[in-house]
Amino acid sequence: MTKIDINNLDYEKLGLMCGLELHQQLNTNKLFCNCPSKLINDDLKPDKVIYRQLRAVSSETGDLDITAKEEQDKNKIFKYLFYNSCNCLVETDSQPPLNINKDALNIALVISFLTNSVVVNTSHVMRKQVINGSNVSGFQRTTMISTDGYLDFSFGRVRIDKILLEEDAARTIEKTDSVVTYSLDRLGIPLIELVAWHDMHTPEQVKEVALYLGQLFRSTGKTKRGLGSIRQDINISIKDGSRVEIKGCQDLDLIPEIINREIVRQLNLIDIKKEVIEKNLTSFSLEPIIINDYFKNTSSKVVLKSFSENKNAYLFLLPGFKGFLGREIQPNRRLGTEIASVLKMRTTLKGLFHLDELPNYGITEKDVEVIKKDFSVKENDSFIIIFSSDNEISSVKNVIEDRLNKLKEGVLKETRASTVEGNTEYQRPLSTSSRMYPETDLSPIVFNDELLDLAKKEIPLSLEDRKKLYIDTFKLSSQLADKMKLNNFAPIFEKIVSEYKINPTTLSVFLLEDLIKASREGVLDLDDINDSLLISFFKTKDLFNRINKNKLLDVFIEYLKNPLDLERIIQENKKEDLSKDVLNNIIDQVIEDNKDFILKQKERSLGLLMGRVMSKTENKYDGKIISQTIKERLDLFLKK
Amino acid sequence: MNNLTIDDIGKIIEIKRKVNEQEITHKGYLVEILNDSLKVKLLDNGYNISVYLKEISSFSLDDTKVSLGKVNSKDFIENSSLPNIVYIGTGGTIGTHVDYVTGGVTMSRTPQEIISTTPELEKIINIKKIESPFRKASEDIYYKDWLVLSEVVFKYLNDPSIDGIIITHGTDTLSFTGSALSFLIENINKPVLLVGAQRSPDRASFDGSLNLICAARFVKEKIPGVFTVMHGSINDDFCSVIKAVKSRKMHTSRRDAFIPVNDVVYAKVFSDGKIDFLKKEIFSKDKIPLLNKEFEEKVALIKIHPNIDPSIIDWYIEKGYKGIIFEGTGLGHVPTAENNESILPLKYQFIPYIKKAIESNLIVVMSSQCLFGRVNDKVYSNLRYLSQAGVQYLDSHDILPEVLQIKLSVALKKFKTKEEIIRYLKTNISGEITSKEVPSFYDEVL
Repeated sequence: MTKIDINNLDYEKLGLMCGLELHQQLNTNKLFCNCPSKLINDDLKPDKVIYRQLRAVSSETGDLDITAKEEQDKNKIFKYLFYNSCNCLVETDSQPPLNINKDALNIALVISFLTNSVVVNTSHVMRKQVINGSNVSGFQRTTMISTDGYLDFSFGRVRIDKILLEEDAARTIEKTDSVVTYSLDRLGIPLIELVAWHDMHTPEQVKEVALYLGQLFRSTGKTKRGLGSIRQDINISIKDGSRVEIKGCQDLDLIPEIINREIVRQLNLIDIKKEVIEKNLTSFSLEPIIINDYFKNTSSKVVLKSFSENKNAYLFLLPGFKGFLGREIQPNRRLGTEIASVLKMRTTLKGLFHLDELPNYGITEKDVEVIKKDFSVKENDSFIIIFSSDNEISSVKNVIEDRLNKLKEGVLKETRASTVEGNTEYQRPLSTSSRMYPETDLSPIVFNDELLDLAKKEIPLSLEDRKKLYIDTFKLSSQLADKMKLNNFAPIFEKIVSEYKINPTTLSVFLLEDLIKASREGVLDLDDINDSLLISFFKTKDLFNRINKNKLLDVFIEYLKNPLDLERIIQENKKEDLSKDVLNNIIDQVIEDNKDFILKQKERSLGLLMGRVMSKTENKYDGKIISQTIKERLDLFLKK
Repeated sequence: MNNLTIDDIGKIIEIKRKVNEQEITHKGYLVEILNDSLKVKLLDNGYNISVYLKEISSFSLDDTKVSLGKVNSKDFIENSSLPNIVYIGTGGTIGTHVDYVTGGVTMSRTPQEIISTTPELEKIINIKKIESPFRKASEDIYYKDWLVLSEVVFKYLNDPSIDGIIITHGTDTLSFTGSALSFLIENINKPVLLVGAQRSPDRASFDGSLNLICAARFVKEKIPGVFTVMHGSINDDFCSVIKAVKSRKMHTSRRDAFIPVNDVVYAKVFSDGKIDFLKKEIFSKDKIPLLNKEFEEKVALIKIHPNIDPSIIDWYIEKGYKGIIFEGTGLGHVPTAENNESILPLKYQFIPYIKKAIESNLIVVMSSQCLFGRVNDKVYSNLRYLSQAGVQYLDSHDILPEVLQIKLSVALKKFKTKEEIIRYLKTNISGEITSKEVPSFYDEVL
């Protein structure tokens, strides 16, 4: 077998086809209730903890879905953390959903238009069965907005298969063998799912599309930002391989690595397939043998821990299988690890030991030799040792046997998760459409002209057009324009500048810097700021003549707390009309107090003076005037 | 699309849809044929969409047909070492099935189909007999259903091989039916357990399974009486067994919608079989059940509120009503104004109309819309006017308004004279009147 060079893959020859699924959280209220889409800090105490269990149910065609069956095997208790600030009974499956959020629907339509997609006439909200507990109801609500779109890229056209609007799942906090803890904060946040057809043929193309789509979403100004607010799944297949869906590729830069490593995995599995068929290693029938006695005097921590949990040591003999489990199928990932990752998902086991990696983990060469001798393990044979409880051994046996016997099928169709290095590990089989059935608690959504026209009005400028407008008309610096065009506030920024004649640079600095800084300091929550709040603030007549520019943020923060009291707040912060004489006096006093320093530093003492004077005038003066006046008075003083 | 018929539903259809200059294809199962559109379940992803007829340029049908909306069904294996029960299915959310044609929900599950949702039952009880006298939503239940159901229940109360009866029922009127059984059948000698669900069985979060399991576990205690068995908390941890006549649906959608009013939970049953009894009561199991076969439907329940027009009573008299239950304010008030028109204009005063009703031989009984606590006819002078006018306060009872209505309906057929009827109303038949109130009756709600 030739070693595959991961850095020199010939994608064309490999027949690489990649598709992309993007999930983008929207910055509106939740999809089926009026709760704000807010995430809660993990150290905050929940207002209520709710315990539930889920049952596998049959689909509309009467079949139990395969993934559902797997989950049911686990028989878990789900613990849900409920927060009054962002949850209601809807998320706890204790109240029927409210009508679909109009803003979210609108954004989904806007994105459909931006991707040349055809909006469906009437959409029915569906229930997609999910019984890992991440949806309290046992299903995720999802609806189809549009189909058959496309976007053109440097390398050609990418078809946009469909655009869906769905609710996000609860957030995993902790997983143990028996209890999975979820925070309900994320449950119900609107997600746009965009499915790009497998028209991408190199990892760089996938990255280009993902990057562009991310920016397209952002250009609406209505998407959530930050870690986890956008999630990418990649579909990958190569000639002779199978379609594999890789979940959770959050880092765009890692995408090429993930794809390359998945290609390597598929190539290796195709090789292994040929070899097992050739050597007729295709129908293992495993027999678990208890071998506790062989570890009577062991000092292996792993083994001792397993015994203390009342587990047995089991041996599975694999005649003729020498070398396979130790074979590297991805960088630093062996076939043995691959099987172990399936065991991890489908049983409570954490892993397995196989002959190719032994002696190791405190299992000694002598242990191995004795086992080999007693069970007549020949040169070409291999074995697996696992530690399992009595009642789980038959499922463990089934999982291992199934996985070994499926090596003859090469690459299996399945959903995998990406690891930090860019490898992938088993998650579950690909789900099928039988997991969908209609949501009976909601009426269909009819996309009439009124709804479509409303969305058409909201179509944002493209990023190029936006930058041009900002630089040519708004006279922003190129650097500021680049930042502003990607900001969530961009559409409202354009509106305020055009309609209320606010200085674009002042406004963009306020939106891009002041607000972000205030939010980092915790004095305001960006989630609390919406378009109408900003508009009613900036449309205030003569705002900048009435308050100092450097008071803008303070006034705004105060206004956020009492939106109906804006007039009073402006009054309280209005510019003080102090005479030039008073200011001169204040400055002269400060100069006098710092005489020695100034005489030493000369003009360089300007900074210090500025600070002292500002604090004495309690920021009531315009900074420009102060700095101007200080310069004048300082000049005078130094001349003296 | 004139040539599409109902027979084509479930067939694979390929639709060419023309939008502007673009032609796109949707392929899926035909779900519904509407006046202006076709509803299709898309083949490759399972989404339902509708396509306007005016946008369809052509379509083709494939004869492969799936039957949408299949439900699993389960026949039970006999195990006579377990408690023998009769399962009666009457409809409700617990028996719903998603209708793929209308997208709506019907109460069409057979008892076997309901039981299939909860295979665990097989290890707890032996379902000896399955009955399904009617299958409907609980809001459609009326007294004739109660007469039919009570006859079925009565039959099995007299069958010595049966240990208990589990009835699945819609939750809206679950406790109404429970009360009806409590008065239509006297001397109930076995557990009769009413079970429903707030979430439908199509979802993995179906609450009916735990309710059924808890009911099944409670049967072996052989405690006679009619009880509701539903979730006892927002968690899937235990169910509350509550006397049907004291049980009330107090939440539109939560799993633990049922709480006892003027009573405590009789027992908490946990999914693992543990039972906590919160109430000590000795029942006689040796009583001989007795069936009342008639029910007077002409008993009104009038909720009192400011501005209410008392002449509604005239309408009831005219329609031949035999009894009126007031759901009075507070301790049991209706507007009387001490006959003083300067306080309340005459047309709002009830006393003249009540007198007319009593002269027309109607039985008029007071209950309270507070639900919690007892009525009283002495505390205020207004109350005294009412009781002097002939409104019955039944020695300060604490019966729920709707339970009182059902009790009066049974009494009116069972007895001839007013005295007998009143005496019966004052007698505790099925736990509907408690002899005293303790703080926990209400503290538990707070």
